[in-house]
Amino acid sequence: MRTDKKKRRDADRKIYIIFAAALAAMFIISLCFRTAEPGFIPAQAAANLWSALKIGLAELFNRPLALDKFDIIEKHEFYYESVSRLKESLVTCIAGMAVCAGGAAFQTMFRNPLASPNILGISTGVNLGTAMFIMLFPTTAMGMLTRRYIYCYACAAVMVGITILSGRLAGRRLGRFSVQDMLVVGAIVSQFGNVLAMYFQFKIEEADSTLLTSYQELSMGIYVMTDLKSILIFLISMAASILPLYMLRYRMNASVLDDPEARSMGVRPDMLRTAGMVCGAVMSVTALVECGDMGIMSMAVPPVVRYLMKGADFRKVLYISMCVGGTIMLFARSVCSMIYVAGMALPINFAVSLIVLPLFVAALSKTRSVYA
Amino acid sequence: MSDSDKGSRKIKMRPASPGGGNSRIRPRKSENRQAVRKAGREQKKALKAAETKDKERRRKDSGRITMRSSSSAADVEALKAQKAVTRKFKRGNKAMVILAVALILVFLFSSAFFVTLSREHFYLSYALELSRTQAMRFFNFITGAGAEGGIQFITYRNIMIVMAGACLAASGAVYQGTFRNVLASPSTLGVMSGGSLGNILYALFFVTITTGTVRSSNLASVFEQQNAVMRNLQSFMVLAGCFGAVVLVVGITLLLGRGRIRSDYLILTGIIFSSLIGTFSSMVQYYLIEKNSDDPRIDIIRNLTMGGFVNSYKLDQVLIMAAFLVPCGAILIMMSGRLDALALGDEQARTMGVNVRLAKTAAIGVNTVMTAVIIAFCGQIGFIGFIIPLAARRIVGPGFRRLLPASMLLGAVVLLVIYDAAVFTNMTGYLNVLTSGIGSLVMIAAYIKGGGAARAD
Repeated sequence: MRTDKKKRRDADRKIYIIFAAALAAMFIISLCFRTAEPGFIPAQAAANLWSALKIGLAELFNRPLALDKFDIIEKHEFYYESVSRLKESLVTCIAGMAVCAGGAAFQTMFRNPLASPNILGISTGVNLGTAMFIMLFPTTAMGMLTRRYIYCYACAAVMVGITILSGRLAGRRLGRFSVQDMLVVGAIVSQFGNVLAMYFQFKIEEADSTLLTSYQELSMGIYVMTDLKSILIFLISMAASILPLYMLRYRMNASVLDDPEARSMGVRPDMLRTAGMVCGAVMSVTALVECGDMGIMSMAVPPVVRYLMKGADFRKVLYISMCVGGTIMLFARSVCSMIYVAGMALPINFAVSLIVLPLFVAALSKTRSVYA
Repeated sequence: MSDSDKGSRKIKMRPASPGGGNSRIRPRKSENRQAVRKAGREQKKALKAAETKDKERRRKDSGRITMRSSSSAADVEALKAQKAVTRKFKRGNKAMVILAVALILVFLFSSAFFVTLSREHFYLSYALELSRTQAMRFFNFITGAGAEGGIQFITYRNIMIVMAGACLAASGAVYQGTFRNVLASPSTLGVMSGGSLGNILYALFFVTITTGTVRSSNLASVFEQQNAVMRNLQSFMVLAGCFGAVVLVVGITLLLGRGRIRSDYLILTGIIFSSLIGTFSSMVQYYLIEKNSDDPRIDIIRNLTMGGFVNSYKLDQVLIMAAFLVPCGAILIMMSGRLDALALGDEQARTMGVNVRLAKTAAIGVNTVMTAVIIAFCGQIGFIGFIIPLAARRIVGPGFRRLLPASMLLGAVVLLVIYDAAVFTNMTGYLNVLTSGIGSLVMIAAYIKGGGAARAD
């Protein structure tokens, strides 16, 4: 007998399948139609990637490698292009998924449609970290990009620390952690940090104007780091941050209740918030370092998903917003690589904002309350 | 109340001698609050006692109409308690007088003090000598004995700074009152982003890049042929950008709210719009630098975002600004009562006879005009409209009749002081950085000390 619950579950499954299929299709499209150059075969690209992985690991562990096994390199003319394209697509897709997952988690935790990981001052921290990295290593900056991770993580951690500390200090009279204090302080710190980053940009340009282009390339996501070390760091941090969110996917729904009620149901809301914030922060920093500032995607995609799923169930919102985020990022990457302005491809953050904006406005205009 | 209770209370009270027990010179804030609450409780008790006495009196001599003066002890006590509460609000008036005097003093000081911290020669004697000369020149200028050494430019610049600071703070206060949100500021509706968009469009489409040495000789003739619009085209484009941005943001909000303006949708749309324009601006700067790193258009774009009083040496610029800002400020002060009612909520204000739609439209419109004019002439100056109203609220309370003038005075003083600091450290081109830096530190400190969002009203 098909009860209502079973019907709903089947309907949900259909929606999951549709979105996952859309994501896979977009992935394959982005592999094939990336630039004005002719496309290639994904199967060939997969084989090339396996060889590239073996070579990369051998280099990493300093093992001697027998290059005659890899004569595929000389045979296939699109080898490097296809492998790098695959790596870029993978990184872009996962970065988009992570950014939207972080936004969904923050909005569920704080029950506020304006929440996103940027409220903790993360994008500001990453910008400042990039500026510091370029000022400290002016000529060799573009050669050792994995070191950029350290600076960006450090600066983002400092910003997040300031925000949370100020929130705690401000709320100490009430004796508990006040979310609104953190939001206000985060807004102030972000604004200040942005102006400081602009000031650093001027100083960088005064020193050497070519440095400014590298700063802008890194912060706008034109240059995606695709060497093995960066990708390993990227995948490990993403796994470390998305897995806890996946494991907490049922418990996050308890954030809708007040703290005492949630505690009576066996959920510890403060641990939930801490875990969610840490995961969201790590995800955002990694995605920002790899793909640049995505603007409003983390804030704008979850409301669209909540409108599509007709509810704020965190499990559904998490899955679908990850799919939607990955799809949008891949689409933007494909489209931007085909448009050439002043001799180089368009940076993706503007395209992402333009794509997300109409969806967001449409979703908001159809919902009655701002947080369903 | 029985006597034993009174006695036990006396035992629990602290000894009044300075040597024994807790000798604090100033009572704790919690004690003050307790004292006020106690006064309120006693006032209520006294009123209730007077009421019951009155009832009995009326019951006794019903039919007789007598006028009795309230000379009973309970009524006198009630009056005393009331006075204790109103004394607190007279502090606000004193604060406004202090602010006005401070503004005049700081204005005089900024006109006289003109020393830049430069590494070659900063000696105290040099600074004092220069300040003395400047002060003499300033007094000569004011008393009509003539302007020498360019002192009138400094005076015009200071007048511009005073107007900008006052109007930014006033518009911030009005925004916070209209949207009833602590985070509201003049940049909420995207006015500043619209101005920068107008500036970028001007730089991209209307600035001709001439190469070669013929440029300087051509410039004068070209300048003479342009009419007033072309000469001030940058300011006009920035103004147009500001208004266009507000119209767009309010229009989208009306669309989202189905004909009604909801504060949270407005803030959301403003954030999205600012983010979009910021991305676009960085992209345009990137491409311009890629093509030619000495492009003058980059400086045009940058000067707006960094803020600075570069145009202030002309008297007609100051007069144009004054022609817009002074009437707008007057309108806002006249609307203080309506703004007070708006702060209570839409429904409440409507029942008090305020035309909510008209008042909100007028407030937003006047604010936009003020902010747009300031951005067009002085560039983006952040944080003044955000912090000064909050600080003024702490000093004089939330009533707009006092809050608007107080925030205007405080904003003028603060911006003058910050500009002096900018002159001293030779960062006059980066005014936005200074105001944001100082402002955010002050804001965070005050927020933490004041106990956070619970006391933000």
